[in-house]
Amino acid sequence: MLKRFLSLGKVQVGLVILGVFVLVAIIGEPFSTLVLHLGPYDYDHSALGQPPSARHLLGTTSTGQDVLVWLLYGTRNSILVGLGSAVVGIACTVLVGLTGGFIGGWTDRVLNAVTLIFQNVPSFAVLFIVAGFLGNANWIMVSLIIGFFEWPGGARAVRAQAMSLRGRDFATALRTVGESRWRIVLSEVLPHLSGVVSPMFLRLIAAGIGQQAAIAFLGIGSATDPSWGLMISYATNQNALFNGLWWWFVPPGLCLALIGLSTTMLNFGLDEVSNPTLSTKRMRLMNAFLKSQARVRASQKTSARGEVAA
Amino acid sequence: MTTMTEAESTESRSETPHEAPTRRPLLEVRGLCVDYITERGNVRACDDITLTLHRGEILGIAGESASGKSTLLAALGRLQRPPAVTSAGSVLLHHEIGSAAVDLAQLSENELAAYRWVDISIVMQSAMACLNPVMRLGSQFTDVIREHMPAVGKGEARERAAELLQMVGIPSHRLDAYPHELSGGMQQRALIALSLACEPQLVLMDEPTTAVDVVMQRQILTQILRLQERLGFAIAFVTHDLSLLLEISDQIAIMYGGKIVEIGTAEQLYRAPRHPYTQGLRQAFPPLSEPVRRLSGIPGSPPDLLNLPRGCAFAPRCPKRIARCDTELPPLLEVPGGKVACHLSTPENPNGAIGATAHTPQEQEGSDGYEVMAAEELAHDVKEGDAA
Amino acid sequence: MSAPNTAVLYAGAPEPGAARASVPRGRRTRRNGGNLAYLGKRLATYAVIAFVSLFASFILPRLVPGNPAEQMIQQIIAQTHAQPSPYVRQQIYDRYGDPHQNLFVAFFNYLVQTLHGDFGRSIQYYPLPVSSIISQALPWTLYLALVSTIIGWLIGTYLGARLGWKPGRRLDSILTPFSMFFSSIPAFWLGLLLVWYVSYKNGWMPNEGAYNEALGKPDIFNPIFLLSVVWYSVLPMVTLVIVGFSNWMFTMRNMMITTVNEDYVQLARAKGLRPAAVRNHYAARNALLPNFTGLAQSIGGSLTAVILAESVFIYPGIGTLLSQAQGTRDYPVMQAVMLMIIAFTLVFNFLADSVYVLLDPRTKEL
Repeated sequence: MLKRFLSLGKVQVGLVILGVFVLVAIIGEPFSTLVLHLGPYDYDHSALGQPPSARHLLGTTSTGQDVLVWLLYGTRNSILVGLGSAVVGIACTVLVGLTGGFIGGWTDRVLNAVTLIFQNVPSFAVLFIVAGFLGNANWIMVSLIIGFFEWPGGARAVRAQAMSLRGRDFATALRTVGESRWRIVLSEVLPHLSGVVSPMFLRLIAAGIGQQAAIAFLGIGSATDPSWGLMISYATNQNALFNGLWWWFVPPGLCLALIGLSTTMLNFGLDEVSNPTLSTKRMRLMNAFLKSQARVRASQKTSARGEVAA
Repeated sequence: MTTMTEAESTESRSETPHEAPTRRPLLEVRGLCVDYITERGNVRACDDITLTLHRGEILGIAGESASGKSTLLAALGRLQRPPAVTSAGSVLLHHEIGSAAVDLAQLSENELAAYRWVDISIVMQSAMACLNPVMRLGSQFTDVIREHMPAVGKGEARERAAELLQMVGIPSHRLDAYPHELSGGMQQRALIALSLACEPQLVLMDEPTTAVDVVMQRQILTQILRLQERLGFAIAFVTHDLSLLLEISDQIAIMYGGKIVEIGTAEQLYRAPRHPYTQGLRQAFPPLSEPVRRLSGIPGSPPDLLNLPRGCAFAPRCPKRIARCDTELPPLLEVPGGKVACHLSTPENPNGAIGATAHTPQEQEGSDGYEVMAAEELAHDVKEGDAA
Repeated sequence: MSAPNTAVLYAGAPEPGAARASVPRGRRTRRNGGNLAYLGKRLATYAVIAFVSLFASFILPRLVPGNPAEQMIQQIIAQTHAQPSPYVRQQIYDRYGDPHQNLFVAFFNYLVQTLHGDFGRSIQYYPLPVSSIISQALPWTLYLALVSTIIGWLIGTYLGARLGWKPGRRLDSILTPFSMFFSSIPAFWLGLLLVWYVSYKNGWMPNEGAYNEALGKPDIFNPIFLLSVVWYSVLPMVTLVIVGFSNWMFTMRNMMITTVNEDYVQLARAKGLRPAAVRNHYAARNALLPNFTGLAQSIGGSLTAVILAESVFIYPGIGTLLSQAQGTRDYPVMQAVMLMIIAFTLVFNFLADSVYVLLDPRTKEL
C-alpha cells in the first residue's frame, strides 16, 4: 500500500515540494542570519524596491527589506500554521468521531448534533471575527480556530468507521477476551482510521496555510510576524502593484499555490491507492491497449478490403 | 412490431424450440480471451474459450468465484467493464437464421449498439444496483424500447412496458415507481422483464437469483423457464450452483482458473462428470432429486490468475492428480457428449478420471487466502469500493 | 468541510463495504411525507445553528479582554466630538457588554434588535446604521458570489463529466494537473496578479470599483450602466472562476468514473442506448447529485473567496466593507457581516437540501 503510494509520480512530486518547504521552515531562519546576515526588519536604504540582484536574490521591498528573508521566515510561519491546524483538526475529528461511534446512544446523538452545527458554520467568518476582536491572531490562534471548525466532515466518516469496526469480528473477539473498550479503540481501531484521517490531514494543512494567508492579507493577523500573507498585504498597501514590484508579491503567492498543489497531489495519490478505479496508470494502460486493438482492427479491415480489390 | 400479445409472441417464436433438433447455432465463441488490465500486468480471466450456443438453448456456466465465469458471460455480449478487455478470439452472432454471422469482438461500441438488447440482453446479479435509482421504472423500459424501435410512440412504449411487467406479475401501475420502492424480488423480476423488452434471442443471466431469498429464487427461476419456453430465447446462465444448472440447462460449461475444463450436455454431467473438478462440484452441490448423502467441499481455494501453475490449474487441489498434471497443461479434448480437459480422460478412455483412485491431496500450494486475489475478485472489489 | 471534500473522504475509506453497512442506502420506502419531515429536521438544525451563532456573536465581545463597548463610545466621541445619544449608548451596551447588566436581558435585547434587522450604528460612518451600509454592499457581493459560483460550477461540472466519462485520455492528462494547480492558487493573489498585469501594466481593464462612476448614480434600467457593471466585474469573476472551477471538475470527474462502473450504467450500455443517452441520463445524471447539493452549499462557502477578491478589486461589496471595518475597528459592521455570512450559508445549505430531495427520490438519512 505504502509502496504503491510512493510509486505514484504525483505523490513523489507532492512529497518533494512539501519536504522542501518543511526543510526551509527549519533552516530558513538560521540561513538568513548566518548566511545572508539579514533579518526581516533589516532595511537596506541603498536598495529600495530593487528587482532581484546578486545582493538581494529576490529583490527588496519599497522600504528596503529583503524579500527572500521574508519568504524564508514566512515559510516557517505557514508550515507551523498548517501543521497546527491539521493536528487540532484531526484531534477533534478522531475524538468526536470515535466517541460517538463507540459509545453510541445519547452521547452519539449529542455529538452528532454538535457535528452538524459545526459543519454549517463558515469557519472563515468565525476566524475573521475572532481575529478581529482580538486584534491579532498568531499562528497558534489561527491553528486552533481552523482546526476547531474544519473537523465535522472527517468526524462523520470516523464515526461511520468506528461503528462498523465495533461490529466487526476482531473487536468482538477482543471484547470477549476482556480487553477494555478504550484499549481496543487505541490499539485496534486507530490504525484502521488512516484512510479517513490522512486525506483530512493534508486538506487541513492547506486550509490552515490558506486561511492564515487570507487573514494576514486582510491585515487582521499579526502585523509583525513575517508571513506570506503579510508580504502580499504590505505589497498591496505600499503600491507594489502600481509600481510593478512583482518580485515582492509574486513569490509568496507562488509558495502558497505550490504548497496547496503538493497537498492536492498527495490527496489524489491517496485516492488512487484506496480506489483503483481512479488509477491513472491503469487508465493509461487501458487506453493504450484499446488503441492498439483498434489499430489492429483497422489494419485488418483495410487488408481485407485490399484483398477484395485485388 | 407494436404491441405483443401473448399468442402472437408464442407463435412468432414457437418455431425455434420445435426446430431445436436441428440445433441452429446462435452464438459461436472461438478462442475467446478476456484480460484484466492491471498495474501489475495483464490478468487473463478467460482463456481460449470455445463453445457454441444454439437457438433456444440454455447454456449453464458454473465455477467457483474467480473462475472467470461472470467475465465470460459479460464478454459474450462485449459487456465487460474496464479494466476487462476482449484480447483475442471471436464471438460470432448469427443475427438471423441463415444470415452471415457478425463477429461481436470486432465491432466498435457504436456498431455493437444495433445488436444490444435486440439480440442479446443481460440480467445481472443485483437488481437494486442495476436499476437507475433516480429514474422511474417505466422510463427505464421505454428508453430502450424507443431506442431500438423508433417507430413506437411514447404511449405505445409505455403500454409495452406495462405488458412486460405484467408478464412477470408486477402490476402496471408500478411503472411510476422508483426502483427503491419495489421489494427485492420485484426488482429482480422487473429486471427480467426489462431484459425481454426487445425480444432478444439470447438473455445472459449472471446469478440472477442470488440476491433474493430461497423461496423467491425458486419463483423467479420458474418464471424464467416459463418465459423461455413461451418466447423461445436462449439463455446463458451463470451460477456457482451446479445442481441448479443440471436441472435447467441443455449444455453446461465448467470453468476453472479462466478456462473451460469440461463442457457437455446436462445429462452427461449429471450421469458421469469426467473432470475431477466437476466431480468435486457435483459433490458440493448435489441435485435436489438425489438421495441425501454426505456433502464434501473441494479443499483449497481458487488459483491466483496472476500466477497460474504451469500444468493443470486444478492440479494443486486435485485428489486424482498424476505427475503429468504439474508440468503439462491438459488440452480440452472432444469426448462423447462433450469435451474435457484432463490428463486422465482421453478420447480413447473418456471416463479415465471417473474410476481413478483419489490420492490424498498434498500440501496446498498458493492457497493462502490472502495471497490469492484473482482478477474477478479484483474487479468486484473495485466496484465495491466505488459504491461506498 | 465542503461537500465535495466529504464525497472524496467517503470514497477514500479503506473498508468501503463495512462503511456502507452503517450508512443505510435509503432502501426503506419514503414518501413525500418523509421528505417533508427530513426538510423540517434540517430546518430545525439550521435554526439551532442560527441561534448558536447569534449567541456566540453576542458573547464573544464580552469575553475579549478590554471593554469594547466603552472603546466604541470613546471612538464615537473622538470622531463626532459629541456624546452619543442615550439610545445609541444603550444599544452599544446591549450589543457589546455592560458589566452591570443582566446577561439574559441583554441577550434578549440583542436578539430582538438583530431580528428586526437592527445591527446598531457603524462607528466608521457614524451615525449611519449598519443595516443600511450592508444593504448597499450586499447586492454586489451576491452578484459576484452567485454568478462566479454558477459559472465555475458549469465549467467544472461539464469538464469533469467529459473527463470522467473517458478518463486517462489526453485532455484528462493535461487538464487535471493544471487544474490541480489552479485550485491551489489563493484567490486574492490571483486577483492581484490580474490587477497588476491587466490593469496597471497594460491598462486593459479597470482595476477597481463595480461600475464606471462617470455614469453617475447607479441605475439598473440604464443598459450602459449595466454594461459597465459587467465590464467591471470581469476581472473579479475571472479570478473566482479560475480558482473555483477545478474542485467541481475533480469531484465530477471522480464521481463520473465511479458511476460509470455502476451496474445501472453498464446495463444502460448493454441496452444499446446511444452513448450520449447513457452518459447524460444514466452516468452524469447520477454523478451530478453530489455536485448539485455542493453547488447550493458552496454559494455560502464561496463568500470567503468573494470577500477576499472584493478587497483586491476594491469592489463595493461586503468584503471591502469588512476590510475597511477591520482597519477602523468598526465592530458593529464586522459583527453584522459575520452574521450575514452565516445566514447566507444556512439559507443556501437549506436550498441544497431541498434541491437534493427533489433530485434524488431516495432521500438519504443524514
